[in-house]
Amino acid sequence: MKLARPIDKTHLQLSQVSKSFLREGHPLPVLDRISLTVNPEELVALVGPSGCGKTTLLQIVSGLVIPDAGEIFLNDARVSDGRGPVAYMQQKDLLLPWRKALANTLLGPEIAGEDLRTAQTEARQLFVDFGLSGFEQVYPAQLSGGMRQRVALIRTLLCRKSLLLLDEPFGALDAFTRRQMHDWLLRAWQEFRFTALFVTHDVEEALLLADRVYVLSARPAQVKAAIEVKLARPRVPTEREFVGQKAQLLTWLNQEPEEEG
Amino acid sequence: MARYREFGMPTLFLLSLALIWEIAVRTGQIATYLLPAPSAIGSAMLLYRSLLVQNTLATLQSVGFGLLLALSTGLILGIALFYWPLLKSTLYPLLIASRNIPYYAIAPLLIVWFGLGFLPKVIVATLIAFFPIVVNTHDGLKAVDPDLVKLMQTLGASRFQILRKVRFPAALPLILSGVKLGAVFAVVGALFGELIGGQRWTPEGLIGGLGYLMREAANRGALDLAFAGMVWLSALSLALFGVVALLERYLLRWQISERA
Ligand SMILES: Nc1ncnc2c1ncn2[C@@H]1O[C@H](COP(=O)(O)OP(=O)(O)O)[C@@H](O)[C@H]1O
Ligand SMILES: [Mg+2]
Repeated sequence: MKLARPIDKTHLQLSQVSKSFLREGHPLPVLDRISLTVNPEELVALVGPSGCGKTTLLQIVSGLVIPDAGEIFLNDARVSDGRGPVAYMQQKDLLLPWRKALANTLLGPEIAGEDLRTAQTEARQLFVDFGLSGFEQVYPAQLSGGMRQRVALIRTLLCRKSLLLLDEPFGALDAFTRRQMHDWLLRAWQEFRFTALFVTHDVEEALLLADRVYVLSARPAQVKAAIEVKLARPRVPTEREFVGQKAQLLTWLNQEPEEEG
Repeated sequence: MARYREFGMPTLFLLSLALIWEIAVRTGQIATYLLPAPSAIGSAMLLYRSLLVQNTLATLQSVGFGLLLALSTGLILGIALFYWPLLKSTLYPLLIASRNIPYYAIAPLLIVWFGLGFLPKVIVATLIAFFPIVVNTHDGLKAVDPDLVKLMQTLGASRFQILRKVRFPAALPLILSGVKLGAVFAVVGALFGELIGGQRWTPEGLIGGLGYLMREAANRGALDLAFAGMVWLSALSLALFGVVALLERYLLRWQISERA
């Protein structure tokens, strides 16, 4: 499969980004001087206890939340509101229930005012590649959770943004469907070579997919560790090196008493 | 079988009620000048059918215009209230409070201002059909999942695109239930305008809508005709409700598949 317009290479850098929210009149520090890098075509995972600020971090990169301090560089250009070559996929699939599956995936090109015929041809191909052929003209309510998530992923891909932000994209799926989704994602990544920053609470998921894993502390989140995953793909969770990295990652995560999330 | 239960039993009940009514009138338990027998109402419907149809059309006209006016102004104001906080903080509390005012009470004034014709009836119908539509439009636009709006923002959508592609379709179920209520209200409003309003001469006789017809018939002791008017009025009201319900089924077909 080919996209009509190739995806540009994107390089993301966060430098000393901090953010506090106001809660009942008191500042609630959420992010504390976060610095991280996502190189072009890299898959980078964020793990950390729940409530530590992972979603906030993605929202800052996507432009939905303005940081209090720090800088964000996209392709070496400083961005203030983040709105740029970024596609953000939230935890919920957020399909529009009144649109059929195919029409849902065309939302991005439609808003951008692109040629819908080309986009539709691409979408149909992606439906086939993602094992969704025959479900193009079905309303989201009639799809299973895994299918809805794949439709949302196709919608994200069709936005043709070079940087994907994925917030616990497979968190709500059962273990089996989740493993399938990993295969879909890796296949799509091999085709499109996009760059992605994703949040997960599944350590194994992080190691299966990512080139680098950032471990965040409890709120206010700081970067506790950046772990390079040098294993060759396809990765197998039972391999010795994989098991070793998993143990290392868990040690970092569990250095404080909070439950992982 | 479910259909039979849904419609069979109520129909049976109505038929037996009509039968008891007929017997009571025929055996002299109820005086005919107070309550005509169903058979008498039936023959009045035949005898006066053209007069009834003419007046039904007159009522339908007031209701139709009233509802269309209420729909267009209601949608526009509902959207304006949502996007314009100053307008909302000024008008919305008044709108909510004024829902309890019986608007048909101003019908006599409207007749003083606008005469006995078509206009006051349309205005009353519009006024009372308007409220559920405005309020439901505003509330529906507001109740949209904020994450859907965020999604649209990250896709670079303009406010108008967000309204057209997300807020409005998401609000549609609530808007349509406002319209259903508005349709019923419009019939009440038009009827009230006619009850106190006037008529015009046609070769068929005096045409002032079903409300006018019922008032005149009752004044002249022609209760069979008054009842025949009521039958037509109920049919009109049900038909209107049915049309909006069909429209709803079509526009919200994605919800039907959700229930399946
Ligand atoms: N808009 C907001 N206003 C106030 N507090 C917020 C807001 N967004 C998030 N928070 C708070 O910030 C903290 C981090 O939230 P979040 O980024 O969603 O964490 P995570 O995704 O890691 O679970 C939470 O305590 C949350 O309640
Ligand atoms: Mg989160």
